[in-house]
Amino acid sequence: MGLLSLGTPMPWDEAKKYADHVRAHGIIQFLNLWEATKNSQKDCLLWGDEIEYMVVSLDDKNEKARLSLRVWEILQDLAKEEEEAQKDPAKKLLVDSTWHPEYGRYMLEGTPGEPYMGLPRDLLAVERNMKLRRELAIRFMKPNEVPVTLTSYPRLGCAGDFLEPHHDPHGPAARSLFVPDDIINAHARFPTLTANIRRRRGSKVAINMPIFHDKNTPRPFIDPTIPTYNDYPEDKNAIEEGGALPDHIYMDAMAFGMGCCCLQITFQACNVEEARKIYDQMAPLGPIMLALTAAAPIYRGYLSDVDCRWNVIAQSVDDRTEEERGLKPLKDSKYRIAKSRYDSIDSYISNDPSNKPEYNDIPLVYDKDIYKKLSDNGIDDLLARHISHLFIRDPLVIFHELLNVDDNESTDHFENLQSTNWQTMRFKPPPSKHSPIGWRVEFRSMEIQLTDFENAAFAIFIVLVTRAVLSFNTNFYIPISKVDENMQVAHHRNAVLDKKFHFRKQIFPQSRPGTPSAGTPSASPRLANATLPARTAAPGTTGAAHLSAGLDRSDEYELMTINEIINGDPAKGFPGLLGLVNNYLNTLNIDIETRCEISKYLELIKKRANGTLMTAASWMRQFVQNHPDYKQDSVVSEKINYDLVKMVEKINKGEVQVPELLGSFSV
Amino acid sequence: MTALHPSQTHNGHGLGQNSIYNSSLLAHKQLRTRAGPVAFAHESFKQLTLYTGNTMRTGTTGQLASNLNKSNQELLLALEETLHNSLEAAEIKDGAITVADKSTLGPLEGDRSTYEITAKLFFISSNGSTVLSVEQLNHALQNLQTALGSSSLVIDNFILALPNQTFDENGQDESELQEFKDDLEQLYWPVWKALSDLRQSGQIKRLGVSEFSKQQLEILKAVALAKGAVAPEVNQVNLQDCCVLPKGLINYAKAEGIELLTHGDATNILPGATLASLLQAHLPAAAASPLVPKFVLKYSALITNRGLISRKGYIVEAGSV
Repeated sequence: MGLLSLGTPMPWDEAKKYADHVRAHGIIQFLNLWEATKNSQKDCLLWGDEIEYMVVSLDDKNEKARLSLRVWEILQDLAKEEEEAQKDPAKKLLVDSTWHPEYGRYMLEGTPGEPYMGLPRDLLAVERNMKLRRELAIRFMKPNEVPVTLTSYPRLGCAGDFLEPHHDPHGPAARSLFVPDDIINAHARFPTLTANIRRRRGSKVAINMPIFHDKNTPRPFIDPTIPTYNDYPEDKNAIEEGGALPDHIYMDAMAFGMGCCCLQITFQACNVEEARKIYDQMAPLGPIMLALTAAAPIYRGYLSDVDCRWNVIAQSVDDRTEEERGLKPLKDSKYRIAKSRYDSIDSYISNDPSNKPEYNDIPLVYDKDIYKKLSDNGIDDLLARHISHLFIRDPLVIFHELLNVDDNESTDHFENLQSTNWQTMRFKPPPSKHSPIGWRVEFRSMEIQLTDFENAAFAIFIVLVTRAVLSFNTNFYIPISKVDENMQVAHHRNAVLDKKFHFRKQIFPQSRPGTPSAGTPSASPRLANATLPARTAAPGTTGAAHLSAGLDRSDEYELMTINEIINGDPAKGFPGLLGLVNNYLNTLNIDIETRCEISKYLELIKKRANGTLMTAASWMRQFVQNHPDYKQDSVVSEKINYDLVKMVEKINKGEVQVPELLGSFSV
Repeated sequence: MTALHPSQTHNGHGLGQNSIYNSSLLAHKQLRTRAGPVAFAHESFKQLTLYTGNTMRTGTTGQLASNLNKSNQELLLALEETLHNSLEAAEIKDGAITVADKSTLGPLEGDRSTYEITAKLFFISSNGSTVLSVEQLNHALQNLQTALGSSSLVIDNFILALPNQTFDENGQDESELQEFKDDLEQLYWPVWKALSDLRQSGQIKRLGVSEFSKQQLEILKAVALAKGAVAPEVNQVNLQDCCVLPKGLINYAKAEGIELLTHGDATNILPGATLASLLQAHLPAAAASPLVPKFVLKYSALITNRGLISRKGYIVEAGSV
């Protein structure tokens, strides 16, 4: 995650004085990079996945599973291995991965050693590489340690011990009632990030996820396990100040969010325009894929009523001040800001003619001076708005040693803001002027799956969707406010089967009047400004002005189930994303082995979408609810947690079949 | 829908699973009738050549109700759309009519070396066995050059689809194989020889067949070698069967360096009756006087390194018997 520089980080009181400095130089760095790379052309699709693991230490004697804080050592061993592989071509193939630290001290992030290419046959390398990564990681673990790809750790922050070795909670950086600072990656960046979010916000973060009310869950549910302390002013937040909501699972630290694991996919586009197009086209798929990959139903030892992690992370790093959150009139802060810096994107950025102004229907908060600077330097409106929107945030971690850098060569200050805007999509310039890497787009909403087979399936599906999008010149645009609505809907328990999502009906360009349309014939758009919600323009926003000339686009989309969106609806002539992918694949010359392998992955997607197979979230709920130790009170005990981790390990080893989750696919 | 009444399908090949009628894809679509007949609606023609638009960009390919079954939906939709959109601008010369979606024909964008061009030629035999015509092959190749705006076209993959060739996973008995060999030597040879020459001269880079069994591949190889021609390098098989493909075929293909590729094309991609019913709404006279489909050429251009399909289309030629 983000940039990992070494140095002495500034505490918030000092860092905030340099916020404008970092922003000003960040923009200069972006402009320098833009000038050097705006015409960059790459003739290859290159792409990669990122898999995050939690390292769990199993205590079979006491039937306990704890998060291992030993990952730093494992990472050092992996780094050594990588280094040796660089020198030895024979070893290179065996390692073929790159390892990174993550927020949690129990977390590992592994990426393929070399990016994958765009040919169908290359897709078969994905699962192999993921397996290789898992095996490699295991090699440097103790016999009782295991890397698991759980999105949220069920007993993170529970009373008792959930860490190996145990540490008492309540350190000075997070000041959490539940987790110690020792859970945070020891690299100076992470404790500083944690503390500076708290300091900037003016309070601890407060995460509240609705509890799943089972038969014996008290109503209202007031969590009896929230401890009380009297060390820091923030200690009053939870109970006295009402931070912990009734009927919710309350969490109070960045670790609850940034300690989650996810599956991210990055693609290299052939040029900046293609990157912007992929960014826009994939954005409406963010919530759809979130619901489809749902894998996070348990938090701090309780079954929740949500299936996904996204909002937990959003709340866990919400550094907005009370003024920014709209709780107080603006005085010291510059803007009201609607969302956390970890959230869904706020604007489409492509200059493609299919991107109508009405789709950007969220009043965008952006830094006017930065917009002007970008604009004066030739950046077009949509991109200037995007960047100056990212730059409304403050840099959270500034290193003394890196305050003054050569803006011609460095992108540190730009990246400082870019990489701490954790949104559903990320539009990424080349890493530097001299890099062989081109413009990229990252797809960030998916939850990590329990097995490499599933993770490969979702990674491959997403990359194939991008190929289909470009080959068919699809149009997935819906108003971005509707994407936000979808994002919230995606969190609901079993949203994958029970909920409907806004999705565009006519996804092919209607180039000529005579072209037959798939789906319901769309009436000509009518002028209907009156139906647009009234908006109050906050300082620094463009709202009404941008919308007033717009057309009502509400007949372009409708509510669909995930099954319809993925598997299509023949009666409406809507092919679904999987239909698009199959129609794309059917045009390629694919050898039979490759096509059969790819079909397995696509079959998993199909069956998850139509309910034949459960999401990991549903499966884990079922596991908990069927466990003899479960008392229908929403509590996920240490024993259940241990058995769940053991079960996940067995599934990965192929020792147990779980047809309700994986059908007859072999992992 | 009336123009495509099932009772009009009396052709021996039937429409079967490839039928346009029971296609859920077409069910929701109104087959549009023309606003008014074209000036030449009641002329009859001795030849019809039809170039569809780029089905990747017209929505035709994208919206297919995809499955792994063999189908000709894509072709039929593309033909229907092309007739609807481009008939008025048809060129008529010496009793031959050419209907082309000109908006999507022409040279490929950018550097040719980044593309992989694939063509698959379906010979259509309306009444049993006929000699495959080298003249038709040459038409098809010329038409493809027209479609891609290139007079010196190199085709990366060329697949020959024999009429009514269907993969038989149990293999064939001796008499069937003998019959196949006879057909090959008598009916198909001139075209294979011509393709072999193109392969040897480099105008085709990879030459293949579709729906061949292991024994049929062996026969083609034996005949080809005996006559100084090339053996196939590709064999296309429908995916429905692929995961249970006979080991014998897989091993043979591996040993011979034949790549087994997937395809989803209907066995009889354009039955005469289907063409007639498609023409009915647009060229009633041509539909009534039997214009028999001669060949269908399916082509695509892939930007290999980016995994993008830039162009896909069909060329159909029909003539009076």
